[in-house]
Amino acid sequence: MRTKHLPILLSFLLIATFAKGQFGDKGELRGNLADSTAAKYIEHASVMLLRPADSVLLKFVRSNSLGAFRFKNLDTGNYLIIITHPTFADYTEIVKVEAGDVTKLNTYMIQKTVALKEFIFKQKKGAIVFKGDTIEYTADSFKTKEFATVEDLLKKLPGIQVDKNGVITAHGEKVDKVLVDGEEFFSDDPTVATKNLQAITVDKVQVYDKENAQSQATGISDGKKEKVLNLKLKEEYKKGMFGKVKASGGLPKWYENEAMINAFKSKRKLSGYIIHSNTNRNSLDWEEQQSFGSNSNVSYSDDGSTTFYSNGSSQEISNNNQGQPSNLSMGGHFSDKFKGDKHHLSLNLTSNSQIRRGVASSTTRQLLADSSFYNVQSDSFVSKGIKSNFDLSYTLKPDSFATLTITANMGTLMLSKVDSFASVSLNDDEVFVNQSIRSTADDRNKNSYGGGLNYQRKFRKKDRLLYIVVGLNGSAEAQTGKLLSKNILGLKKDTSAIDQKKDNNKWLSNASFTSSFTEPITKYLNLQVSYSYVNNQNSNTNNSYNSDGVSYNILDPKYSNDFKFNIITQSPGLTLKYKRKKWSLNAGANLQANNYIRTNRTIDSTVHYNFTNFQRMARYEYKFSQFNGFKLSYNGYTQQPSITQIQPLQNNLDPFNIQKGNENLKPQVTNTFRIESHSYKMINDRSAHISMGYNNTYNAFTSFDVIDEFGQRISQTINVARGNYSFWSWMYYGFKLKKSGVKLKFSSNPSVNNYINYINGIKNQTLSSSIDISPGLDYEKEDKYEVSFDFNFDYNSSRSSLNPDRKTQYWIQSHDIELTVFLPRKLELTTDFSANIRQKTSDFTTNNNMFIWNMSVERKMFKKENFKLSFIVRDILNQNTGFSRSVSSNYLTESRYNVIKRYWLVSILWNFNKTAKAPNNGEVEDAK
Amino acid sequence: MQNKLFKYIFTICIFCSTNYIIAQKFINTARVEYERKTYIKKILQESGDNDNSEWMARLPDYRTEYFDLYFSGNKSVYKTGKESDQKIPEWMSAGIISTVYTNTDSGTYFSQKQIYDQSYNIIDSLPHIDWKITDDTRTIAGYTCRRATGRVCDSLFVVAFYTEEILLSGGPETFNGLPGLILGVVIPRMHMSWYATKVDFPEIKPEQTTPPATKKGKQIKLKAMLKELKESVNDWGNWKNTLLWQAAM
Repeated sequence: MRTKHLPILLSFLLIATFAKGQFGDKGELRGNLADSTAAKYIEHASVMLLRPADSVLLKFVRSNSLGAFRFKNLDTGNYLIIITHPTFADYTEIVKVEAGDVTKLNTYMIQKTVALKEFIFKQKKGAIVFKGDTIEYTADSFKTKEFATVEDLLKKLPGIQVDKNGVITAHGEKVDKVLVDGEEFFSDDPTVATKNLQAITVDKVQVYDKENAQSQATGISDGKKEKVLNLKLKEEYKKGMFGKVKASGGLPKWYENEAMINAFKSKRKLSGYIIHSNTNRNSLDWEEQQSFGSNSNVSYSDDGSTTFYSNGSSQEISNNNQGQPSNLSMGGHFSDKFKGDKHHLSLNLTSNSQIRRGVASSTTRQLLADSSFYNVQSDSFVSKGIKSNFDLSYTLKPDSFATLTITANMGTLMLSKVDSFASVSLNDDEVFVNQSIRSTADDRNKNSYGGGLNYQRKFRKKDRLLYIVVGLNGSAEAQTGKLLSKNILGLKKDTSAIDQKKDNNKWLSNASFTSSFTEPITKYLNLQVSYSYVNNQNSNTNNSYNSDGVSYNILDPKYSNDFKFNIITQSPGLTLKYKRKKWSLNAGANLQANNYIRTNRTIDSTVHYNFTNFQRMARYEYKFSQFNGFKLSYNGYTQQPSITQIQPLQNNLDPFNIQKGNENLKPQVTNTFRIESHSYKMINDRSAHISMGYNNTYNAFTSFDVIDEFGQRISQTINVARGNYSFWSWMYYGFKLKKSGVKLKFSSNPSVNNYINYINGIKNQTLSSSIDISPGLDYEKEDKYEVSFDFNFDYNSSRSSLNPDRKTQYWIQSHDIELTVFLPRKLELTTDFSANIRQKTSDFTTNNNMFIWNMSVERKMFKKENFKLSFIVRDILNQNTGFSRSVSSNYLTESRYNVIKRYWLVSILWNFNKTAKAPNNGEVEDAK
Repeated sequence: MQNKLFKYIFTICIFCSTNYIIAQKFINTARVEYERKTYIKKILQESGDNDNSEWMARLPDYRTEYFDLYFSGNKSVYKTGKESDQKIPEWMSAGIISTVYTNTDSGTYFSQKQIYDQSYNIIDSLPHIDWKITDDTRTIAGYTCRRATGRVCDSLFVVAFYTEEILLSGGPETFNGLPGLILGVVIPRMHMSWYATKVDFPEIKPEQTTPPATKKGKQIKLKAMLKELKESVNDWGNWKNTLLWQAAM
């Protein structure tokens, strides 16, 4: 495919060079200056154009008697413009000059006497700015302690929350990726950046939604998006190096060691980190969707900057903080820009090895129409895994029109797990129903690779755009394991035993091509046509062997199978974009023709399925100002049934839960409506955000369960025409009391969810709702203390039509108080207390309250105070327990798992910083 | 259309506000006196002449000289000013005396340089310096100056302070390229500094800032002059660099 398109690419490159020669790539910048208080032109102001990277003066002019200035024949790119005048406050801005274009900058300047009065106001200027879909926070507007981490900074930003595990939530939605300067910074673990980079190095924090490369190219959303947080570092920290080294240990066995270095030389960046710990405070693996076809995630923003990251590595090392891990992870990052930023290379290499021991137990109550079961499970496991990933991206900008990015990634995973599991079910009368004991041992080996190409070409005609995305990804996985289980059913205690060896081999590959072309119809209206082709191949071989007494070599045909799937999707699409200064409207649709071929290689049969889907979207945005706006959007998208829903692979791992296929499954259609509005008031430091969403799924996939008197469940996926819908909202309001400086915030997150399923042939409708109210308060007295209170009240209620008399209702509260006191002799005391209160219910009668108290004392050392010695005790009350509760249709489950309890550490931290803040050898010989 | 209307109204408003007098005066013609200081003791120490410590003790730390810059519009002349009352041995005095005529419009200069016994007439374009603009300011001779840094003679770190209140984009010697007049220059490596001590406003006639028509001595480009000079002072030891740098200014 690539060679086929190469001539086209080449010809575009030729056109690009030709175009450059003909029209030149010079631009012009002009503007007018006027006094902000009296309507007067400003003459003789000096207008300087500086290179943003190093502040070198490139050109300057003086404004004329009409306040006008003009720079002709400017090279395209960004310039830092500084306008100075003895009577007026300096004016600084980044301006962009485009080829053949005149950039205009009309500015009112503020008199110094006026500016002085507005000093505080000025300092805060643009603490929060909304740039299109991006919310941008200026880091310095939010004060943090010395040597605070990025995580500490994020906690101070209105609308952003960080939980105990370092998981970030922005405007009610979980952040999936953390980038540094638009680049991936150790893909696997966002906390590497947030816990290890210092807040002071950050200039801007940007939050935005990102769709995969295909959706971005075609303009039509497939309903999947990622929330991205981008940290822009300050320029002065990109000269020299900075980082930290931390070593901590505590008896009898605890350690928590981290080191990170970031070194910069002109445009070259080199970073590395190593984390070695067994306290579960580091190296958090987040869930990553295994999304094939979008592994290379490159995007080009309007201002010409590029962001990219790969999401090829699906998360597989245990992530849920269960058990006791010991963890060693390291990574290296290299990036460089050269030849006038026309080439950009970025490399990431990470490796993570983890050993985790866990013990978990859970109680489930399963509700049927006239009866119910209790099921108690216990599980213990040891898992060892090593995961390594390498990714590369290379961006080439041959001229100001074209951008080409090539990405490649590779990953390996080795995971072995030994698990023993036991479960017992009783009915309402406490009569034995079933019992299961099993132990498994698995070894998995997975190799994955991926590569991609993104090409974007602008034209001299404004808004005309060509976009091509090509991707090729694959993975091979081999799993061998043993299953030993014993299952006992009913009063007669029918016993069956399994002793098998399992060999599974999976192979996946994906090739995709997407292209789109945008053509301006009028000044405001653009038309985009797109086409994409995706070919998914999937092969799955599962073999089960019984023992003949000596070795496992008798094939069990019932639980052995060999399938191959091939899915080809072609989708042509059309989008209209209408854009005015204050508002914009986008609407588009595409057709998806899917061709499924399933081959059962065991019995040599082939089945074809064909689906045609229709996806559509519309979005309306209105901007009152840079700080104020709202967005309305609609998405209608279709989801295919998965292969396992149509034809599951027979599996005897859990004989009490059996999956059955449904060949008549239709695709489900989801319609999503969203409203989002935000506002920020600079002077009062007040910010408000509200978002609301409604989902309605037509032909929703739902489960059709048949449960017999022995508690055996056979489930099948079916479609329900109507009735599956959900509503959610997130609201935030934060402001500062002027006199006292107390910051108050309030957020709420109500949701309603209606779900329909079938149990033993009876339709069951479950309506569950929850509302979450979180008020909070922050106060700080400089150099004395800082305190924050965060309260959270979460009310849950659920009722299902199967048992209309039963209503599950309960409160979960969690309250946190954090206090930092600055003591004399450079001592600092930090303590936080969190109370977790879970209401008992008729089903869950045990006490689940938990109070966690942590404390640390730190002392800054040496003249520069960049050494810190601390003593830390976590969970002083020794109450930490792993706990989760879930209520879904006709299940109520409470799980508990082992976690680390009380321990202490002595820690030494060194923050180093050798960055050239300003050339300081200037006035050594100042002769005065 | 709206834009035009706005501009029109804007202009009317400005003409109506007749009571407004621009408080800020921008200087287009003046005389600026510079004090040049050379940390001669340091230079001597660096050159290793430690055996003369007896008379070194009698030497002042700095050699001070004065220069005047006369300018009007885009033309300026920089020449020796009042005599310093310092007592410095003849051989310790500056070996280089120059008069620099600059035209910032055309970006050229004409410099009459007396280097010991050799005189040169240098006609060249003004040296380009990549100035980095900073936010720091200080006051020199009553003018608020902004700090800029750069490099001259390939490697010498230079700090300059310029004021936007004086419109000439020039400075002492051949320093130039900032949006205003440079009132202060420090070159740490050379142990030299130039600071304006006063700015006054005598009448400056065009002929004052025009290079003389009859030029005695060799006419040469700066690069060629430096090459020639380098050959003749090659055996000067540690003084060589100081001399060459000064000759290049």
